[in-house]
Amino acid sequence: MDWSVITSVFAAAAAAAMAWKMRRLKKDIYEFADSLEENLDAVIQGKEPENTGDTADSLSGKLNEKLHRVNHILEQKEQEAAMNRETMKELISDISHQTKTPIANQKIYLEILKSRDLSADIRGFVDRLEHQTDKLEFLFDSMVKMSRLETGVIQIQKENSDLVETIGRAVAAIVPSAEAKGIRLSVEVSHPWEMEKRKGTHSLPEQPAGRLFLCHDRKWTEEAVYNLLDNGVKYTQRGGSVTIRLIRREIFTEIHVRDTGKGIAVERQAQIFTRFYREPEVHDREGVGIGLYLTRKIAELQSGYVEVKSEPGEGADFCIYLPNG
Amino acid sequence: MLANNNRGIIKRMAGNSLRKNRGRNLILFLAIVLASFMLFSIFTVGITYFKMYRIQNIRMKGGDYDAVMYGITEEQQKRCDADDDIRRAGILAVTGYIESTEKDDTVETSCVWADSTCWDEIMAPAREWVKGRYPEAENEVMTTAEGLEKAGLSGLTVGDTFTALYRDGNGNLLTREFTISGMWDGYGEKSAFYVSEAFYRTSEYDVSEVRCGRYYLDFGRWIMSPEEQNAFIESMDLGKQQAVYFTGDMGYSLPIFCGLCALIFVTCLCAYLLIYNIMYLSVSGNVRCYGLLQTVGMTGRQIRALIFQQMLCLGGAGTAGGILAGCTVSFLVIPSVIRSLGIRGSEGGEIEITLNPVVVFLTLLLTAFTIYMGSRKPVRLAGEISPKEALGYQPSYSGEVLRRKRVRRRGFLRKNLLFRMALDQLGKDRKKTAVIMVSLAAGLSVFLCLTTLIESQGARTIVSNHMDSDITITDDTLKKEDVKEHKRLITEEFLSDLKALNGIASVYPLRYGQITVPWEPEFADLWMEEFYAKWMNIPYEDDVEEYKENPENFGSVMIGISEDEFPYLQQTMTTEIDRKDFISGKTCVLYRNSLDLSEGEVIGKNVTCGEYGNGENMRTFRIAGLTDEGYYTGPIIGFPPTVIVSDAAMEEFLDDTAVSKAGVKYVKEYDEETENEVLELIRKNRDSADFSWESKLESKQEIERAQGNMKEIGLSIALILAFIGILNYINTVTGSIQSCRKELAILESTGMTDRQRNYLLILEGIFYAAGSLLITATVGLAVTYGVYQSMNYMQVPFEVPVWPAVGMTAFIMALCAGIPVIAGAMMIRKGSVVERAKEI
Amino acid sequence: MNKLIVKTEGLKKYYRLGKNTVKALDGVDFSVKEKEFVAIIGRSGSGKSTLLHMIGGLDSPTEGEVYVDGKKLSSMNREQLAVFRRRKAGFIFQNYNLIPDMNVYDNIVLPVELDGKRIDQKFVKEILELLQLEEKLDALPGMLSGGQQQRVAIARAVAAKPSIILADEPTGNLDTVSGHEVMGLLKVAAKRFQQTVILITHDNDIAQMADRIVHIEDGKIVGTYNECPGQKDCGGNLGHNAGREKAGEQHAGE
Repeated sequence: MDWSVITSVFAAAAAAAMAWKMRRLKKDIYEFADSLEENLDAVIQGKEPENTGDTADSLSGKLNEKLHRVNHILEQKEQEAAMNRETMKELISDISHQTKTPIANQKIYLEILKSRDLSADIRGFVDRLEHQTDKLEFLFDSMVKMSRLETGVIQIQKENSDLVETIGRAVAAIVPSAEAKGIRLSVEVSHPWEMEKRKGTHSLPEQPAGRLFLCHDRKWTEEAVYNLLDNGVKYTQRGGSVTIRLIRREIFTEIHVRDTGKGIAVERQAQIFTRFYREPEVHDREGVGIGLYLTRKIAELQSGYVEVKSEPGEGADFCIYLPNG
Repeated sequence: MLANNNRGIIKRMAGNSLRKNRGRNLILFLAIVLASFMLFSIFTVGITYFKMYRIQNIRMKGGDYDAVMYGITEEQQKRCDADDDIRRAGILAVTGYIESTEKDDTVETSCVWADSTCWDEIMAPAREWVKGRYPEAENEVMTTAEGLEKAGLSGLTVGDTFTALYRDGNGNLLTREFTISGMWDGYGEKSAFYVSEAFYRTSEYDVSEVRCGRYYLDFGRWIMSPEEQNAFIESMDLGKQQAVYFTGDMGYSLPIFCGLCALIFVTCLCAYLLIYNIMYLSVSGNVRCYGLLQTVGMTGRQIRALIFQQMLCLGGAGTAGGILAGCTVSFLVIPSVIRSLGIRGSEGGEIEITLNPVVVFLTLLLTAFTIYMGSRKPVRLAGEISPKEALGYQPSYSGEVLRRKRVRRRGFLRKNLLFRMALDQLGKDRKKTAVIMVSLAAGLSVFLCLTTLIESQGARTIVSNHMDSDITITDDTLKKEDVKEHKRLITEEFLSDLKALNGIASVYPLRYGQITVPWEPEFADLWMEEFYAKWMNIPYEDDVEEYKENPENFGSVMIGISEDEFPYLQQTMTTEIDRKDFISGKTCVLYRNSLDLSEGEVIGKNVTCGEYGNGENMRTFRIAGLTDEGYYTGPIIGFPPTVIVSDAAMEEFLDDTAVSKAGVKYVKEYDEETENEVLELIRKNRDSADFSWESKLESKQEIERAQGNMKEIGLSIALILAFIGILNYINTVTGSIQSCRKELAILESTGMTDRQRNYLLILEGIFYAAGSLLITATVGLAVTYGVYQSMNYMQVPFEVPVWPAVGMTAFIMALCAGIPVIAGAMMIRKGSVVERAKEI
Repeated sequence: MNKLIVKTEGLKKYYRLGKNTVKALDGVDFSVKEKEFVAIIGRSGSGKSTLLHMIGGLDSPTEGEVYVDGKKLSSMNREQLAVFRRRKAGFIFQNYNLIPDMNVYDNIVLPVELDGKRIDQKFVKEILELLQLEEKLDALPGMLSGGQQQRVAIARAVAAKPSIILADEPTGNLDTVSGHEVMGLLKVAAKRFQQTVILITHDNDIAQMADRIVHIEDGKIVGTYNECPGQKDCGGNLGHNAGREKAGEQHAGE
């Protein structure tokens, strides 16, 4: 009885000690992996990894040092990239700045030319010259805008304000050209989703009639909508109409700009959003072809998107979707 | 490679799942608790029982030995030494009898010498304490307080001396002054005085004599079959008077051991079936879920770990609970169980429960093993689920298309749609159906076995009276030596009063008379020779002269039985004797008295008897046969044979006869009322104290008392096992109803009434019940029969108690039918037809 | 410019059915560039689901190879495929397939936790904001509407930052309006977190929201458009060459 009990007790104790040691070991390994992961995450996000244990003679210490170096290298690369961007920006800024003067001068001289007596065909040439100069000016302006766009200088600042008001300003800006072509403008606001509000799961502040509050960037949204309106007016014939509809759904608020213009062929519905794309028909009119691109970009930066529905001859319905959040 | 440390999520998901499936987990938990409780109790009972059994035996025998040989020669001793089977052997020698001491002169204490092996090794386990030391000098003795008291020397202790007169081997009466060298207490031969070897050498006794030497043998084995025992006896080449007796515990406890093993097996089986079923159902019910998890990126190994984690929690908690329950219950219940298994507490000392850590370990191990086996296949299944199939994506034409054969069903089956549906349902998953039936049947079989055994326990273990009489009344005064004290209580009056009582069927008085058997060469001489050889220490030659001269110094008894009793007498004999001859008094039967005589040697010979006190009255009978039934002896047994004749013959022959005992049979067995009247009759008699009786009813009651709670315990065991089976059934039924709820709802929407649906469910349930009952009736019954016969020493006919069996059948039917209906009703409450049919 | 994140070569999947052989995929060469949003459109039985399963490692082809992020799927065993799905592919299903007894938050971070990774709380917060689920964190899937559940599914698919997101008829169980909104969110999320999305649908309108549409019929790719020709039903007669353009090319202004 005695020997077997003693041996079994000893065996049990030994087994328990081994098991405990294994557990500790496992825990240590997990801790190590965890801290490594943490540090890697930090590096990914551009933060400094933890430097505790840098001097400790442990596995973590060994790796931490290398991580720091990696972090530095990444930081340096970022700085380089940032510097490059800055350089580019400055370059563009300089170029545009520099080109302002010659163009301004060109315009002055053209004005002067126009004020003189010219033969009909020479006047015609001067007119075209002026036109092209304007275009050049416009092009340079757009270039600056675009460069700012590309380098991410556009800062979206969202605030909760009345979308109707923002739309209003965009509409106000387009009224002259619309009137000039005799195109009718109208604005509608509807909240269909609110009418089917579910019980108790969502509480929305009641929207006062005729207003629509949304968290959005007023300046840029206005610009985006203006571009749509501009296109709408541009591609709609005389006597047509451009309708703006605001629909607030559960997740997105839709800004529809519907025109009764010539419509867009299906194959081109993806292309129109690319930079510098212009429909073949409007070569003679003003514009660079970045309006839609800009609009889409602005929508995406606000966590939204832009869609178009159109068939040739049936007009086009552009829609900006902005999230209600 | 080091494993990923994603244990945290697995543990959380396991916890979630445990919380969610409360019902299923509760059942699992219960089953594990029950199983481990059963296992724990069985192990504890087993260990305690065997330990106590051994201790009790040792104490009753006075030592740890397996056989005792009376008389041991040098030659035999040498042979035993050489025998490897014998672990050790010790000598106990009777070396004299103390006849008187200073204080008391009617002492009859024996002096015995125990050699060192006997005292130090064989007798040690029965002792509790020893003071002083074993005698070494000739005049030293060792004894107990009891021994001293019997010798009138109470109060003395170690170191004290006393003088005593004792008789040695030659019959000389000697005086000696003895010193008490040691005292002891415990169990065994407590009244004897133990002396030294030196004393033995002077005592004129020798161990080779049967009257002196006892050789205790301890074989190293647990079990020796009767053949092996006989072989040993043969090898010892015993002398005429020598004998070897094997103590009874070999081979005796085997049935209990096997019974316990069987119970363990059945418990594990039931638990295994339950766990397997539940896990299987749970996994197959969650196939979609597991497939989904796989698409999200859970590996098969993680899924297995998930299930394993759950089982670990449940299993751990369940086993702990079961062991705890076992601990508490053991202290309350086990003593009574052990008592009813045959160990009497008072003689063998108090029953100590052995709570061995080994038991806990074994229970843990076995339960863990069962759980592992039960969940192995389902777990493997879970890990191998293909996510695509699990998500329900089937390529539009997948695998094999089963053609539904249009089975032509005959007649009734064809018409009865519900019947067919029920059968179909069962046939769908044959394995599951079989598992349930087996699990139910296991519990039922155990129930059957236990009730049968317990019911017949009484019948099998009662040592019944001869002739199966309900009560045998004996006149004790006739046993006394002094004839003057014989009172002859069982008079005609008494007998007629007895017969007159209500409920008495018949009375068989046994008459006896004293006779002599004068010497004659043909038979008497032979008989006496054998008698002396068997029973006497002195040789026949010494006494034969006196016998011839004075046969009345060698008295014997003649027994007269009534005609009615003749068949019973015949039953006890191996040869058939002629009834008419016996009744008419021509022939007689002799009581063999264990002599070495066979029927052939005596049948046909004549025995001449003379009336005791009246030598001239002689009668000769022809010996027709021998009987070994001790019932047919008188109050005393003499040297010459006990002669059994018909009472008519005895009446003719002898004047002076008396009734020594009467066997009584009641109209109704175990009739308590009648018995009370008989006892009342005895009590009314003024010499009631001199009556003694042996009552079948009393024996039965005593056994029932001894059985204690055996019935209840047996029932509980059976119930627990049956409960596990029932849990299994409940779980399966609810599970299958859950998975069929869509179909049932559709059936309802097409117009099936509640009653029809219930009918369907009940039918299914009855099928299950029928199946399991069938298995019980065949396999279960066979096993019960086997177990019964192996424990059937008394050859009581096999009988299944009717009422319990019927009750069990009815209960199972009700259960199997009722549960589906209840489950169905509960399902209805959960939603309307449309909701249920939509498969949320 | 952008590397190919998914590439299949001669992908075939045949099923035996008694004596017939069903060709679910019959030689498909299909590739997707990084950060693209591709819609695969076709009738039921056209093989689009099968193609998606192949890409997601849910099924193995009879012939041909699938490469995802440079890795050959046929060389992986089951466990490896599960890990692959965990780290590289996010699934969105028609019936959402959320874990019913875990709340929204737990459902979303499940793949991350299965991988034993630390949960990037900031990132999760961003996803929740984007999908407008911040207030539903503790809800159980049973308490959410179809659209909300699908948003949770999208969040889950995105949370582990997989290489590709595979969506199988995500709007199938939603009404038109919810479906449209869910698609919008998917687009936005993909754009914001720079995910590649491969989507299956039979609905033309839904498909149009993608950058590129691939049309599959009878196990073969029959057309790749920037957008589907105007008919409602994208199957049937097609002018196969009508207006076909190569994906990814961009035209300059004039």
